[in-house]
Amino acid sequence: MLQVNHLSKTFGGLQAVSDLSFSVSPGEIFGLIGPNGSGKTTTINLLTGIFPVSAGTFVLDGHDLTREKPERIVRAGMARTFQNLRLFASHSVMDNVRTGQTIHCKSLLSRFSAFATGEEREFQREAEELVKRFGLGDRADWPAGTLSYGEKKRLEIARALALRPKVLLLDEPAAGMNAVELEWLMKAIREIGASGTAVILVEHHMKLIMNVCHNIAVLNFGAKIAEGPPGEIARDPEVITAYLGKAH
Amino acid sequence: MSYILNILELAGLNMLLALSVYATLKVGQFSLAQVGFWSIGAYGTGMLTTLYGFPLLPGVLVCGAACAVIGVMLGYPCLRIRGIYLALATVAFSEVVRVFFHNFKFQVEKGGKLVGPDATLGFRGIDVLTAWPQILCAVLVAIGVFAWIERSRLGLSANAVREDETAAACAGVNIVAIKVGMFAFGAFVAGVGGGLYSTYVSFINSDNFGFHLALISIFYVSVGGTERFYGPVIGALILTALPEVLRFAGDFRMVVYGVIVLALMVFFPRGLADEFRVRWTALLRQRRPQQDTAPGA
Repeated sequence: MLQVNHLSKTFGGLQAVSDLSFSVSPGEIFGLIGPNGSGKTTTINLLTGIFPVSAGTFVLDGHDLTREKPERIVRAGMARTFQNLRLFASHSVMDNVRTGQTIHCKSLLSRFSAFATGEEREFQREAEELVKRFGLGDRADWPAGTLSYGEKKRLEIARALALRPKVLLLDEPAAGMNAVELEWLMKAIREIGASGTAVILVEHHMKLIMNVCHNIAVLNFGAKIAEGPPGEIARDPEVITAYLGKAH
Repeated sequence: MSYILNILELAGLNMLLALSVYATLKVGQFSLAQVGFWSIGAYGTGMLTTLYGFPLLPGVLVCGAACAVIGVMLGYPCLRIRGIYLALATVAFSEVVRVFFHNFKFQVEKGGKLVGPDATLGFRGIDVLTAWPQILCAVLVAIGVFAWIERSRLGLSANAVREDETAAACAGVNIVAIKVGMFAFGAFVAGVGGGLYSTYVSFINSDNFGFHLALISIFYVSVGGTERFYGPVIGALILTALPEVLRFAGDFRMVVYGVIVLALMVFFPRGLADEFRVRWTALLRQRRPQQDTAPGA
């Protein structure tokens, strides 16, 4: 479904991502790991159009999205979360979720109407479900800025899911989560995968990666050094070297 | 009585100016160009009505539309700049307009004497077509439109752009369309407001539309509040009435005015309306019992 072909990004002289290729199929949970500075977040920024691509392409369901703007890429079906939380702080929890739904408005009326149309009520229901599913039910009318860190992380995912993506890119969703929240996150990611949405998971938390991913690509200095199912990756000597260094 | 009515009429006109500033602030653009549009509207409507016999409504609508077109042309390049640079570029636009009208001489003979903009001497003898009913109608329509926008998904998208442009783009908001659109809409409101202003006061001079008015227009919004449409309305009302209330201070009136504006900004940094709204909703939330919702619990 999503095909990434020879993707590269240079910042001046720095090769942040070089010749990266992989593909993701519907429902697949694809891990993207690597040491700090290996180009994982840059890859997400390339795939969502935040940074222009230096070379290579990425294609979603036959549509080449390489040169598209972020909002076009979102409409094509790729949604993301941000590593350092970028919620709309003064919006209520519900409104954060509702913002993204606008791209699915079928009629101009529901896009510009101040009163709830039939379509709008449908959106409303969907947003309420998402908010409940992510444990934010009784925070629905709170400004997002007043939530706790864990709640904000969950709202980020809910907001991205409201876009009804084909591919969901999660940038370090587990950072700062406690053991209970992590357990919950694992379940949530599996559910998203089971519903047919592909997940690209950038994460440092190995327990999470090894438990939920079907396939993992390992980056080091912007280049892919290994790809395969979790069991293989954990034993790959090159991966171990990248993370732990070599014995002398 | 007519004294108070006068102040209310001026406050209504200032509300339109404040709302036009607010339209651009809504998408996070700090614009001082509204004064430029205001003076285009003022001169344009004055000429259309007085020299060419237009009725008021077509006059202000034509000028508003012209301002919206100029707004689109100005809004596109302004997409690339933000913050202090945007403020500079937009104030430069207002200055260009001011200097243009400062030198603009276009007089037509009417009833044995010359009328029309007379460069530095200003434009006198504009037909007085605006009084409180027209102003009230315009303000009500403007408030209605802004309230509508705020309740709709359009307002949701606009707020998202103001909060975080990158996150908004990643939520599928078309940044270019909404920013240029709101800029043009703000220009339209300013054009109409300016038209009502000139046909209300009957004498305008380019010097009235300088940097001072640009600053005042920002005051209205920052004193009133930048997050909901009633903020600028309240700000314009208070700041229009304030100099009148302060008449007792004699020559020190504007000093006291400045100190009060400063104090309001220090103690109510979000603006009066928003500060009270936020505190009020926080209070309501505290009253309601809440249980913590840990996931999986």
